Amino acid sequence: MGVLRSRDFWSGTAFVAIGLWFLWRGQDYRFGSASAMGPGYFPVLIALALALVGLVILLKALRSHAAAIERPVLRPLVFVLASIIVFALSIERFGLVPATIAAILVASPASRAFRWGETVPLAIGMAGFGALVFVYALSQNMPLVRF
Amino acid sequence: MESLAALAGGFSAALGVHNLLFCLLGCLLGTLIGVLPGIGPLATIAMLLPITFAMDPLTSLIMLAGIYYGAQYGGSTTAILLNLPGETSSVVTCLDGYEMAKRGRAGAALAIAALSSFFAGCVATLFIALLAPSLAAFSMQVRSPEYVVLIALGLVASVVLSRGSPLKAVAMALLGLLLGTLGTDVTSGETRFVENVLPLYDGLSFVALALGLFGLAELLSNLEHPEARGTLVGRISRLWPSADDFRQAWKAVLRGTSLGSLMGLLPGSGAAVASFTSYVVEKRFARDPSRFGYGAVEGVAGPEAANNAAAQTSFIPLLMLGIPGTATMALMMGAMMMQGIAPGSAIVTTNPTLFWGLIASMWIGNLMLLVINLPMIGLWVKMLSVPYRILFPSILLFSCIGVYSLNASSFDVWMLAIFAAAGYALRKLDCDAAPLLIAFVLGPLLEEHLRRALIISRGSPMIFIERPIALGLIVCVAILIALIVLPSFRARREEAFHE
Repeated sequence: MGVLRSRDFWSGTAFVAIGLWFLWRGQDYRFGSASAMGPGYFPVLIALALALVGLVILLKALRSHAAAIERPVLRPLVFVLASIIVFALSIERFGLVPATIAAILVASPASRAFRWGETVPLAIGMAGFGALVFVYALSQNMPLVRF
Repeated sequence: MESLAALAGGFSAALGVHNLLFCLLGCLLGTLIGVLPGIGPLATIAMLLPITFAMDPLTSLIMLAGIYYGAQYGGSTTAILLNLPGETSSVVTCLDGYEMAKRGRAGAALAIAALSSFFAGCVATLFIALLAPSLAAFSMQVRSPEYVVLIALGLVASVVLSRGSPLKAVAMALLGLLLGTLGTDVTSGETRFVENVLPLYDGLSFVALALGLFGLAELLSNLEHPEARGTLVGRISRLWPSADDFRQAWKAVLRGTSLGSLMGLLPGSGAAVASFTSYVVEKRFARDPSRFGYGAVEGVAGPEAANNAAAQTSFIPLLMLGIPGTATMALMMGAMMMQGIAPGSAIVTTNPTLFWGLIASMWIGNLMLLVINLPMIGLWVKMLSVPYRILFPSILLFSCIGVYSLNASSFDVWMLAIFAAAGYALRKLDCDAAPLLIAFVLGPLLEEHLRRALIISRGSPMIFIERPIALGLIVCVAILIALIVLPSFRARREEAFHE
């Protein structure tokens, strides 16, 4: 309880971590000087600033009671992300029509109100619509179906 | 007068059948997504960006712009009828618009909103036409040192106008600048921070970033909080407002239009802020402020005029200086750059058809919107009965297809998943993603101009205060920073975002 649930504590920590990572990786690039900025100059200075601002946010969160993080609901997050990943995996292997059907079927349960009776026709309809719009009308470079 | 001739040239370009068709398509789409809560112009433009890639630059900008200002119209429709702002810029329209509807005057409220928006749109078009030559002359004076300060001004403004803690907004802007450095550095040719991931050598996919952080993060949060949909008030009987309404509204429309036109010019503000400011101004000017919140016509007319005027003039900093004021404008800039057009001072002279054609299309689009909205209002309201459980898988799918089709790269779709998760986490941590997106677009420009300015001055930062325009802009930055620190403004800002 307390600080471990504070929004500002975690956002501050994340900013410090990201800033430090860029600061560390930025050491690989020549820094140069103000009159001749190397590729490392700008990112390193910005990363330093980010780490410092993150630290201030973090310290302020430790001193006072900041708002707590709202409890995440896993169901939408899991199904939505899974749907994007399914699309990414199937679009090149199997083509637009199977990828569309799979993405819609996986995404729909993200809402508690979903019904198979609606989702299946939606998936088929979207596959047809997508094929018409993207492949025929806009001649985007995607295979419709691939085995 | 020269610019009026140029504007006429723009009209002839925009009135081509092809361009008219896409203007109409953009306006229809804009109205649709404006009416539907849970999908905004930002996500829609990001989704359609890959498609416009195949079009001619003017046509694609005309359509994307149509989506943007069309959404302002659609957003106010649901605000008035359902107390449900389709867009952030129509939040204040709920206050008095819905009250008017509850009193059986929904038709009058809708007509006042549409007519005010139309009037403001016409004036803003004229305003841009008259202002463009002097702005072009000004932007010729803008060199690297001025660009550095201008970009800083844009970044500071995005922080001032973001939701939540200013400190976190600063961190988000810095993070955006860092993400912008990913990929190949133009000057040295060195690849930075890519850790040997080959598809990252061209930098992060801008569309995946925008869609993930805004569109999909919004979608996830809608699924988490199934919204309580308002109920439609009564039937829309009489559409035409009474003479009394017109008498009360016209001054508010004039004030809203001038306010919106000016606020749109400032980097960082845009339609939402303009409409809020206009509401506050109207309340202060009113002889009887107690009517506000209980169906005052001015409370609808002023903000509606202001948001439409600002939506239009906010194209000016983008087109003239290459500095996007809002996250949506950052997307428009992305669209232009993908077409190989660098927005900036030269655009008016090198590509007058594009510039004036876009401006002219906005006026035409506003006229179309008047027709689309008033007689077809019933159709748009019907759209609201499409349940979200059908809508969200489709939005998700089109986001995936859009991101994929841009480079035919499934790596970008993976990035979309990562950014969606990141956007969700940022929302949970109460960090506004708008400064990040603006900084991401401006970052590479900032680095380049900073490098050039410091080469000219041999490393001395004095160059930024020795040049008069740069100094003037620095004063603006200082005023903005002072505003963040000032407690009274902070309180006002909190209030603005809570309403």
